[in-house]
Amino acid sequence: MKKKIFSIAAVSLMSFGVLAGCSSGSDSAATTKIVATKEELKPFGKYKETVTYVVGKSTPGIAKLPKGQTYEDNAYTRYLKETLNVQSKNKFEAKDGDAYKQKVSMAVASGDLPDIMAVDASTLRQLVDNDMIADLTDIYKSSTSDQIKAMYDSYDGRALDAATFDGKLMALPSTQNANVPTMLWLRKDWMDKLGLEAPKTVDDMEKVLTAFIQQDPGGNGKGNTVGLTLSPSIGGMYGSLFQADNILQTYNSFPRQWIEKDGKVVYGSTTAETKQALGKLADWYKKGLIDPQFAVRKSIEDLIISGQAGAYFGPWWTPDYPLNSAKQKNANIDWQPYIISKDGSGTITAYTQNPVSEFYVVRKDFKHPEVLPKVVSALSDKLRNEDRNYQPVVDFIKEGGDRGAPINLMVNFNDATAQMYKNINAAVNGEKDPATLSLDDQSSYEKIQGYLKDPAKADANQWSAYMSRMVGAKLMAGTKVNEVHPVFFGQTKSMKLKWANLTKLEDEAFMKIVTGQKDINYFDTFVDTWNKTGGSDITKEVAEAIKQK
Amino acid sequence: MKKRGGQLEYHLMMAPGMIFLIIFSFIPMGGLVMAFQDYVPAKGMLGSEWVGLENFKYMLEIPDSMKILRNTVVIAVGKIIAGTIVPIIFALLLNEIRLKWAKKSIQTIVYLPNFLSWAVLAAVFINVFDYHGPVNNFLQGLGYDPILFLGSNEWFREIIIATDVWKGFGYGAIVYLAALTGIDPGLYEAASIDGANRFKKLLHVTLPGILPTIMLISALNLGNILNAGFDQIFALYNPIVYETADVIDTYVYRVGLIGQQYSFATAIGLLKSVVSCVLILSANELSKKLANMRIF
Amino acid sequence: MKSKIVRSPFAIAWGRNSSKPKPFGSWFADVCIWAVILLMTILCVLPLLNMVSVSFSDRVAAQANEVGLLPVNFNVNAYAVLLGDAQFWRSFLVSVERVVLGTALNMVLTILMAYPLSKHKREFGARNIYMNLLIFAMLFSGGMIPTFLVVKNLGLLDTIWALILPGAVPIFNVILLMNFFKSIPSSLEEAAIMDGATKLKVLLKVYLPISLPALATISLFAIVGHWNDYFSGLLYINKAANYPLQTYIQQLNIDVTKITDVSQLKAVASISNQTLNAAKIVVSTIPVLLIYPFLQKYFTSGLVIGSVKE
Repeated sequence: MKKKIFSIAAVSLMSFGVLAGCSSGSDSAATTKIVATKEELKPFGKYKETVTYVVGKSTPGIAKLPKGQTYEDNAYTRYLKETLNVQSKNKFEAKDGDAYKQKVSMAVASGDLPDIMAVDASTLRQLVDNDMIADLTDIYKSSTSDQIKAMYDSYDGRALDAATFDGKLMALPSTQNANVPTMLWLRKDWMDKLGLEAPKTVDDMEKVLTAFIQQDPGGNGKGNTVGLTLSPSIGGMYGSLFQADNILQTYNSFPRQWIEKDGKVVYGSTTAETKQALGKLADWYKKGLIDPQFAVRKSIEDLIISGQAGAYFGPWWTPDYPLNSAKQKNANIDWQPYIISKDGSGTITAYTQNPVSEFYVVRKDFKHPEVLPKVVSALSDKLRNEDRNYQPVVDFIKEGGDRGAPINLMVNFNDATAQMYKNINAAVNGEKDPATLSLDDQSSYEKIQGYLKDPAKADANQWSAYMSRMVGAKLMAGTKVNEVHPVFFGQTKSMKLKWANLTKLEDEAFMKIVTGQKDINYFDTFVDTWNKTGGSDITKEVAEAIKQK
Repeated sequence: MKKRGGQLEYHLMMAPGMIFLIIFSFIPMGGLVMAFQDYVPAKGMLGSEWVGLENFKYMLEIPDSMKILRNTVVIAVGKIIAGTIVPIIFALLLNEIRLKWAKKSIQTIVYLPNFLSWAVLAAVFINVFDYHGPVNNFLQGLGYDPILFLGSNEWFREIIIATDVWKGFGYGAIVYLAALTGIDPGLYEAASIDGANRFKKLLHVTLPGILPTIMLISALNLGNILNAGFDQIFALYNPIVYETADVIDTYVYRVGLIGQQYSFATAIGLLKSVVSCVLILSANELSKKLANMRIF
Repeated sequence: MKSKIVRSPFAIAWGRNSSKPKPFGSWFADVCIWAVILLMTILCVLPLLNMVSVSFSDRVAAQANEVGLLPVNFNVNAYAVLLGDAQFWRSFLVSVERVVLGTALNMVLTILMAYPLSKHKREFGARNIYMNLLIFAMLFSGGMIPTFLVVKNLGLLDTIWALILPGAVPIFNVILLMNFFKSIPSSLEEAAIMDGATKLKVLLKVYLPISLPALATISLFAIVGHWNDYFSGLLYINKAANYPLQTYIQQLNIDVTKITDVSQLKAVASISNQTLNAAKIVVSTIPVLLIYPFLQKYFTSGLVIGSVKE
């Protein structure tokens, strides 16, 4: 008996000891002293002694590194060693998305953070609330290069605001440069065959789709030609493939966004405009213009690559994916981008996105918090400009390497895509020295030259570089956009438990209305249920949160 | 009669396994307190706020909680029943085949689908149930209209159960095939002498022979009554079939996407464990009463 | 004491005799049985065949979803690339190492626990307490974070032991084996104990030799469990280079709707190679294809009990 009691006591003691391991660490209230010298604090100042920093490394899943290189020792880490005398070590490596998030939450849970890692908005909030990360306000000023600061500033403060708490900058955000408008991509060869005009309005588009499915210009066999392919989410996923946002915006419908309407905050999925827009899509679905199986599709690209589909919505880069494969499959296809607008003028209304996708934070007691802005400055400024021709990195990219940089913080100007088009176009026109282009743009430029030499003989890669950088980006840069800024991207208290269900309600209602399982008046039932099961409370909380800002 | 040696040796045999269980199962079970907390990883288990039964209460407040529970149980029960019967039938039929090499190869082939992940298989089944896929071609050949199976609330659960059985029956049959090889051939001979035909022998010799295995396996399977199979449903479902396909695990996953909600997930896990525990223990009692056989 | 040896269920449940019932019944029944069996087998084989043909097909044809049961533009490019993929083979080796070490540990612990648990309370007083603890451990779990903390505090992160030790006791298998042991006639044990054998010796010399079919089944379960598990790799392994094979394969999934930026396309391009992915999956199933026939032969070799009981 005695033995048993003893062992139980031992177990419970151990249990507390082991499980408690996480609560320590945040006690030291004293702010960390900066140990770097004034010279070392400068954006490009080199350390006297090598500074080692531990990161949580996000990877693309399957490593793409040249032979003999690792995530801890590759062209980028060597560059950083040479310029700044810093060396990274990885606490963990995990694929972007769920796998990485899980590693982060395990690190947070065990109170054992890497010196630098990427987190999402809700984790950032948690880390701030629990005083686990360093205040970057001062070192942002001292150790970030002017160019990087200018990039952040191009978002009118919206980028850094998202990482600022009580006036303190707690993280450096990755920015997302604008990708809108997404465009309607159409099989031009089919249109030519049927003698169709380039569409400008939603009605024009309907005519084109109708002709596609009725006359089967691709010879897919009756009933096998798909008009418009669509993602099961229908719309509201900013800048991603297969969203119907271009049609929705002609109705002023902005699903899944918190927008301001008549001075009040509303959730875009519940507006009368969205009802109207869904009615249009339902009409098209009924007429067979939309992929009849879009609800159950997991790989929409199949339809495009195999040549079954005649239309889809995608951003300027979509010639790289999935059109590149479609071109490889059939060299005779011709996909072209078009802008659909309400009145055919070519001016569209579009919502803007969250300017920030993720946040890089520094562990509170890390002696060298300035490493983060310094590394970012070195990678996103110095390496891109001054050291553009640093040979190991050039080779790294040539050999198809990806994500060598220890910190994958992306920062760029808000209008980076338009800039890219301008630069490449100038180079193509002989107005700019191609050698001054960035590495990525240089490689695009070479392919474009290859395409222009003989478009008929160009390979799929040359074709897609041309279509994306010269055609798609041009149309994007040239389109006038009336921007609608969503007013809220965060989370409120009630969202935590209720949002999943509201989203489900929304997805289900959208899908059933479009596929005709419910008629359009079901939308009102949906809005009603949405409001009753938490939607109206959350709307109030959002309005409250905006006021506080 | 019997030499009642010291039991120390038994304890010593149990010890290594128990040490592992204490370290990797019982100590972590302290984490179950999260179900009664608003657990914030940064605060840890000792620092997080206690919320009592709040997390459990919320489960009942989910507008669709009854629907989700019903879907879970319907799918899980369907899988348990079909997933028990089909492997048994398959094992019995295979047992009747006497070409040794064929038997062995078939056994090996049918157990392979178990090794393909649902992410991979989803692509296959989306093609199989496509408007222009084999199943619909077959239906159209018979003069029926094509059906969008994976987008139909009438068919989705059936397809989930059927594809799950398809994936697992070969693997599930292993234990029965092993059991079948152990049936005393003398019993068959005796039955033959009594004039029993093939079917009668199956009924009176083979089935009783593997009955204990059947009972054991199905009792253990009962513990899965609230696990409808996350990977599979997640890979195949879509908003149209939410009303028949949304189960506890998919729901928890979607809730978890909005911030990591460990407490809520732990509370649901705890509830599932309690239900499994009750079911398995009752199954044990039942088989003790009915068949005089204890599972544990 | 135990007179019901003959019909004791689990002795019957596991292979004690290899001879089978003699053919009996009509040709018609045979034809039906063959038809059903073949149908089921074909249904199982088709998706696998599809996978194999994809792996030998042209990349673009595979992406266009045009490959059925025969390869389109047959080629072995995917396998050539795979052969040079150091990461894949490293993960393959990690998995093999895990299976060998993990199964060995599983089997030792399973056998050691199943034997005392198969005894009646009269012989082993604490038996029911242990049993209840096991059932409790099988059904309840503290969850991901606490288990992670334990593994971390023991310093096991990023080692192969993190994949092996937390699941060292497969309770399901312990219960299966325990039930088998229960059915072994106690006369065998008594005879050995008369000769002065210790309990461990009884287990090793008497129980194990006649339990080969059960042990083969259970080790198959253990092997498959280790080979198929991807989640513990994701959780406990920090360097992608040390991932076991299934964790590596898990990384091949992509969600296209999450791509919103041109910089993410490189990663997609490297993963969306369906022929290569299919080749990886095909190669990863070869070991399990080989192991089953190897274990099958033990299903028919537990002869001893058959000769004793009369």
